[in-house]
Amino acid sequence: MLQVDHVTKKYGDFTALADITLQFENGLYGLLAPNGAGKTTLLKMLATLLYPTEGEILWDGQEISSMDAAYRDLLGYLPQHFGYYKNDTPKAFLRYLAALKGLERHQADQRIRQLLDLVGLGAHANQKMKKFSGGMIQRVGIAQAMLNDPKILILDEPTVGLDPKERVRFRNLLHTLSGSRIVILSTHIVSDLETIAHKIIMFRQHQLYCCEMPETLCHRLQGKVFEVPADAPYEGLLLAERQQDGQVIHRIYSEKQPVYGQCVPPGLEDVFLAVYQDEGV
Amino acid sequence: MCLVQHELRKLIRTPMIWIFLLLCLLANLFFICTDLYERDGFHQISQMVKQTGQRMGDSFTQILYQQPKSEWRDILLEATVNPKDIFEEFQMWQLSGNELQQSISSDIFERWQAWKYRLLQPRIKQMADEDVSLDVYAGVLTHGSHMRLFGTVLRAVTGEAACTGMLFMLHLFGYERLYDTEALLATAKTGRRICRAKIIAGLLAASAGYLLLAVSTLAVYFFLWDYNGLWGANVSSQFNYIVQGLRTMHFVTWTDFTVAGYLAATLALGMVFTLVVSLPAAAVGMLCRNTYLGALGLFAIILCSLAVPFLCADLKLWVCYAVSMFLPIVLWFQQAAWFTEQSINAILPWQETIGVCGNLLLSSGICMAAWKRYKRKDLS
Repeated sequence: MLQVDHVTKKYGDFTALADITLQFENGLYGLLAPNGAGKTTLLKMLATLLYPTEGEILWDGQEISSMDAAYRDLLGYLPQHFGYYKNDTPKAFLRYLAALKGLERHQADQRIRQLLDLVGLGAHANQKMKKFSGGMIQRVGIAQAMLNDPKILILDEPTVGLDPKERVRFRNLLHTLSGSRIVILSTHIVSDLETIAHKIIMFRQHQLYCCEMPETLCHRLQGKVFEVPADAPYEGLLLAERQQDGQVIHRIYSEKQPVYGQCVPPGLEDVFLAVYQDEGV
Repeated sequence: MCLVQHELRKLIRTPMIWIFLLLCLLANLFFICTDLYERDGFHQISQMVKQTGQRMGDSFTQILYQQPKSEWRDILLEATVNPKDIFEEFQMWQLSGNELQQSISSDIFERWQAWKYRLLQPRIKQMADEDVSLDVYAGVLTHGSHMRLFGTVLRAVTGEAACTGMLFMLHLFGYERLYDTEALLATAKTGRRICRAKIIAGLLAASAGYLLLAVSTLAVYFFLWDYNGLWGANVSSQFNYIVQGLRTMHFVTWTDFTVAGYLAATLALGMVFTLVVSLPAAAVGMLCRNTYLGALGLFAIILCSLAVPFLCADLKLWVCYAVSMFLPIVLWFQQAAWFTEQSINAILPWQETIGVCGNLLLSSGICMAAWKRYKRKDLS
């Protein structure tokens, strides 16, 4: 079990995260928060790139920084922005990272072949990465994170650059992986999480706002999300708009039902917009 | 070892490194080829000395006289007829009592110097007993050729190799930031311990760079300058001397060195020196993780450290001056006088060797401290 115990991270006077306590067991955890809320800071602390100012992070009761290589051996990490050696082929790049992850050459070659096929890059294994598109690079990143078959998989905005088909494939893959490991995923794309996340973690004002199942979160807004014709008056927060029979329909969040409003089941995106309505999301 | 290979590959695949090495070689070629005016005479002396042997005396003069008549034979004859062993009647005040020494008004400094010269006394006696000053070396061309090889060419090689070593280290430590791969590396099982592989790779590359520069430069040098008859000459020949300030001093080494031995020792110490300056570059690289900023900072420190001895001498802070002589840049600056007593620039016998080894320990310590800091550093 991975445990974040009263963790605070400060940069000088600025507090990026304050007193965060969380527990992770096998399953997929979605981190949902606007930019600057501290998602990446938390993920970097879990990945040992940053050290908490206060509090500690424990794996099975042991402080992760004291576990050193033993902890990182359990870890697969895909950063939000990551680079690569442009003149390397994905195979060579993954070989290097496999060596850093302590994999034997033979074992690594087998695993690299499997993973490149899994992310749909099998045919490009020997091409230089400088010719790759953003989506292909992102897939190399996903492959490297899974090289050591990690017990803790941390993915910071992993679907950026992927086309819809790749996103669906990736989502299914994560769902499968989360059965036997902790997968922590940070994303802006709510639909990435809606169907596969076991729990959603949200931060507000650099503090933990919630860590709950998506259904529980949606239930909080039950009876407060409505659809109204665009020309009808209403009080509340505009969440989205869509077209129906040539007419524009507004989806709103309101404490009381508008006159022409029709109550609809809330989704995770509604929750996100409602929670962060005062943060300019 | 596999990780070290990967790090070495990063260096090998960087074109700028090859361009830098090529520029260094071109510079060395320039140093060698723009100073060839004594070459004919040097070649003739080398050929003649091959026949006569190094040790001056009656037999030497006789054989030399039998050589075909030439301008250089006559010059050599004139210089070597009735040779005297300069160390036989050598007085220590010739070294310790010179005007440079006397200009220093510091009790401690004077005591250190006196101690050094007491240690030098038996060495002078040994040199006198062994008649080492009677080696002809390159005769009247000794000082020029010795300074050309050890003061210009090898000093350039050492300086260039030191710069190359520093750049290798800085490049390796800035590489991940340059390619934005730091997070991937630091979160892998090896993690920040990749620094160890980087340091080993940097030191190996610095050594290889030094060897490449030294071997290729010396190959050209010895192709142009014929040392066939000179390898066995003792460098403390009476024709060899050091110029310090406005004064010339005998080339008094702390042990016997033939030209070949002196070259080997200089090359060996030069390689250690290269490693000495590469290690602080690793420390700077670890803490700053930016090749360009690191290089700027490091070269600024080195240049400033060059001013330290001048400043100390101006302010008559002689103890500080003595300590400043251990600065790597000063040790490099003194390369032409390595393994000699070095007058006021040394307070210890074998100062350059002790200095380089001491700096190696210090650099290793700095590197360890930087590693400790880096281990707990946030990598954002």
